[in-house]
Amino acid sequence: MAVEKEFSFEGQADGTTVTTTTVPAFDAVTGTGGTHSSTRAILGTRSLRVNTAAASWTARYDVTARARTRMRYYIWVVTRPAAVTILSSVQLSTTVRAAVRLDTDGTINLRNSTTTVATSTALANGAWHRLDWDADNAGTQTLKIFSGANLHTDTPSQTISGAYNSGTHDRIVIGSSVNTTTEFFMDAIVTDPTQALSSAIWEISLSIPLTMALTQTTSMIGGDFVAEPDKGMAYHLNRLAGTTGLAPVGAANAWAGTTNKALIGALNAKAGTTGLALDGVLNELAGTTGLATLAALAAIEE
Amino acid sequence: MAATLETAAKNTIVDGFATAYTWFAAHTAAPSSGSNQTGSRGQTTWGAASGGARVGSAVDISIGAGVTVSHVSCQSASTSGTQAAFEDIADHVFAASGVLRITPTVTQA
Repeated sequence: MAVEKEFSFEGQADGTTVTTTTVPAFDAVTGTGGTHSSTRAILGTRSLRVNTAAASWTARYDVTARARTRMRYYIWVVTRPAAVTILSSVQLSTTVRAAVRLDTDGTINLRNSTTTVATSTALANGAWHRLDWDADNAGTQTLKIFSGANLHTDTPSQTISGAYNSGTHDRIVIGSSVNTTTEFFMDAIVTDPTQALSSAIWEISLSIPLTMALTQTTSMIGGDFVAEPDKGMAYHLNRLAGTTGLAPVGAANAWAGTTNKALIGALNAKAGTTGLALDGVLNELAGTTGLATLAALAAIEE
Repeated sequence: MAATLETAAKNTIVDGFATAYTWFAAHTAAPSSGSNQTGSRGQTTWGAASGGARVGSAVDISIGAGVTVSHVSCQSASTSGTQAAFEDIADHVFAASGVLRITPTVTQA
């Protein structure tokens, strides 16, 4: 199921001021210093740049009053704030229920209204970090921080949690809440009341194994080895059955003394086995192990 | 009997594959000739062959919100073309729009 809300900063020129028009997902934007930026991005080519000089800048998303909000965003800090500032908060009107704050030393702390309830180690400047925040009126707020090699994984680099200021909330606020000087970027911001919000980027390694085998049969003729060119399945099955021109399934039945069996069924009958796959039964007949299908077939002596 | 392939021959084989197949796609079900595709295909740049293998650059494929990706494939062209291989991967639900980043490797055993 798709998340409740995504905040995209795409589609605007670098330096364009963020407004409720350029980012319709926002219900209100306050202050100065928030722009669309092409300097860096996690998704697409634009992110939110918050660059304030003794000022604040926030954007607000309103929701029907509820007990829980889950939120994920990426942050890249260029300049730590001169004064501790709120990066994200859930509020009932202006009453803060829970907040994620960036401190002057680069640490992140969780606030329960006006009380700090947990503190992380410092986030490195000049790198993306993923913040996965779960603010729940059931009693707790939890922040998972994913950094470095963990950035796009399900393994947090740090997890901090603490109390939530009891009560529902009806707005979600992001940005830099106090009048201070700071610069950071945010991107891939999403919210949802219930869903866990994983990484915006899912990384996988795809391995394509090629199993080309070079096969040849050799015959002793007059004391000399003469390499025969590679032959197909029909050739070898006709060779073994003493027939000519039959399709593989016909030749396999002729060799096995069976009628109307499928190819693998006839070969299993010949081998006295049941249920082996094609390469398995041919290795059984050849007295070999691990050869590819055609190689095993070629190795079967008449 | 099966002959032993030398490394140079293995490199030749993977070079042939890499020349023909550079595009990757995401799918919501098992693909056949590129079917069930979600998002646009992305192109890798294969590194040089070494030891019978070539590693490609990461391919980013944008995935829409609410989509579950279950398979990935290797293709010969940005659209249509020939499907070379596909893999059934662990299902991943993109609750929000995001990126599937594929790092491919082709190996001749």
